Amino acid sequence: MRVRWKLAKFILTVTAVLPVVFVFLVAGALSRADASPSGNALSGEAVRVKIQDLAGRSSEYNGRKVVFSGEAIGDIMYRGQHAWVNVLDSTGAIGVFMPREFAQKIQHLGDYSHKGDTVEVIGVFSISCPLHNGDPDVHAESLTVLESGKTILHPISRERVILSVVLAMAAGYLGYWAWKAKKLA
Amino acid sequence: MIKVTYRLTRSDVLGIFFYTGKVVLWMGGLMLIPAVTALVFGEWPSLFDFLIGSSLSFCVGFIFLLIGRPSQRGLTWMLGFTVAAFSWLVLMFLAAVPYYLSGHWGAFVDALFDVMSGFTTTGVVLVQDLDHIPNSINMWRHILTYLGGQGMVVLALTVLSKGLPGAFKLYVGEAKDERLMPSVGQTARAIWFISVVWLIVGTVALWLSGLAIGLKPVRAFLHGLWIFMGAWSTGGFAPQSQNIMYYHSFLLEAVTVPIMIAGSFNFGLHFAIWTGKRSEIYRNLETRVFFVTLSLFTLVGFLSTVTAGVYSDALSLARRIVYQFISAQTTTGFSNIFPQQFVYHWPTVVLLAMTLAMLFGGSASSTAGGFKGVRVGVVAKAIRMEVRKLMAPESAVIVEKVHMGQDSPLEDRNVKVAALIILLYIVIFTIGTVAGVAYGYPLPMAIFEAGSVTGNVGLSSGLTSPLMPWPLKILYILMMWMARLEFMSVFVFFAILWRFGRR
Repeated sequence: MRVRWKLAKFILTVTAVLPVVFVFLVAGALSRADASPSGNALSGEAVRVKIQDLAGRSSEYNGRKVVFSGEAIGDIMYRGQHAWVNVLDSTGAIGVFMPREFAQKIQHLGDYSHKGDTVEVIGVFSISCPLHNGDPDVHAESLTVLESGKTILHPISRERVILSVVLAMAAGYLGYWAWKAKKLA
Repeated sequence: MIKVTYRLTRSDVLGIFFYTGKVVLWMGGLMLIPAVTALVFGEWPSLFDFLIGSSLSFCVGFIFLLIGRPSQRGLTWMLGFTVAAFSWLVLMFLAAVPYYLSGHWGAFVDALFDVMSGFTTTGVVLVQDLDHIPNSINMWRHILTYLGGQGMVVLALTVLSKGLPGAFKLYVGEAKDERLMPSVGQTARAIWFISVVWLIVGTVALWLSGLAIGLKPVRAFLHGLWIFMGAWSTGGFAPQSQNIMYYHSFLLEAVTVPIMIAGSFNFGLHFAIWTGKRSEIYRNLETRVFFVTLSLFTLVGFLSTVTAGVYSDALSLARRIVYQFISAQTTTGFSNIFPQQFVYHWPTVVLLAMTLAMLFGGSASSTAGGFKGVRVGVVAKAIRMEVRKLMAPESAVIVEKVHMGQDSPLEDRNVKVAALIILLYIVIFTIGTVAGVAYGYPLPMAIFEAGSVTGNVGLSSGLTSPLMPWPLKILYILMMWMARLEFMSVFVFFAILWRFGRR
């Protein structure tokens, strides 16, 4: 009896939920036209893009050979005979999957202390790469270092040093008065 | 009709300054952590920026202490709520100083935005050139979000004021009401204990994952620590501009999932499990609501993207959709796709389902935002009770039970409060959406962003950027602040200001 009652409850719950799922499904199907990427690997010349274009107009570039340049940033993450390098231009950053030997050309990676090498990548863009479980990425066919990176110097501002000392002294003075007034207990 | 009025005494005002001063001192001390980080990594300009910020915080804190004194009436509800809201505002201004001095934020309001985003564990950012910021600034960003998740004010006061009478009111003022131990001090220590144990375990797991995916040991450690802080606090901050997508790693994403989910759970639930009551995880109303709603939303996302043919294989579908929905509903905001994909690549229905997931959010008394599972559960049970009443004989007494640590009957008062807070969330969500559309953004983008800010989530459709209009930045700051403190503290604070202004 108890099992039958539980089964009935389950069926009723599912029946209640189904219309909601159905509505979402219909809406999903209706929005298909807008959402579906082209998905076709188009051959031909590489088209020059900014990284923002790949993110914002993905259906236009999905599966196409693209060329872009930018700064190699962060880390080279080696995975077997390949590596991941993230490339940043003035509009955004994207992961580039490349053979190990391409990655070895990169000497400087961008971070606080360094401007990374400026590289030009030619490769195939996928908004949802099947090889990498749907990662939006570019598979590099060639990589050229256009400009070597360098160390970035960050000079210390004398005014800020003085300001920090003055404020520290003021804090010490006020702290002393707060302590004397027994406000720190 | 009885007219109830409250009078703000001079002692109350001095009390607000006194308690806020203590919290500000705590902030000054905390800024020494990134200062040490700057010292270790030789980031000299940043070191002085943090010394300026820290010294300024100490100056303000001491001045507040010298002006103020403990309230004669003790910490009343009004005072507790006001101190919580006021402290968050003062801390926002002080914590933004090193941000602004670093030169990575285009305007001071952008720095304020990012601090509030961190405190409230939201995660939307206006920082520029994140990939080139110093380690010390990254450390500060993640410390802010980690501490914001635990509750800045009550933790500060329980450390600085032993046995502070009435501290529970501050605790509630920061939108937490789970009393794990008899006193707030003990409760705060229990919260710290839970968080630090998770911090150690989570950081080690992420560090090892970082090493496995090719990061160098020091980078792997720092990234592991920061990603943990972003995940546990459900803040969603990450050290690189591509967020989680930067790592291109299923392993690292998988490690963040249990941390995000654990972070969105009630500290009371953590404590129950810690003390051996493991069945709580199945019986607790909030975990049930969380898993049921998450499953439903994810199913909708799954089916809609399959129908739309967005992903060509099941693994891609699972890795992107499941991860994004978990990130949304835990209100974390980690992302393994481009922000623009939500609007231009995924079906609109998924965007709407994800907005609902962000609004529903995690658990009460956790680091998560949103309506919270308990409120959704209470309202759902109330609806069920009403339906059952209509179907039952008139003489029948229908009772619904709510299980949060223990069974208790569902009362009208609980339903009223839950519904009221949900209504307020919906109101600010609507205001945020209308404002986004009014500034010319597409409706789906405005809806998604408003949902993310209201739920303190941090996923972005690309709307939030340094180029967005400044009134919208200020509106989002207010929305994050109100949503995180669950409105009441902020309302009391504004009521106090209003009354003060009319004197």
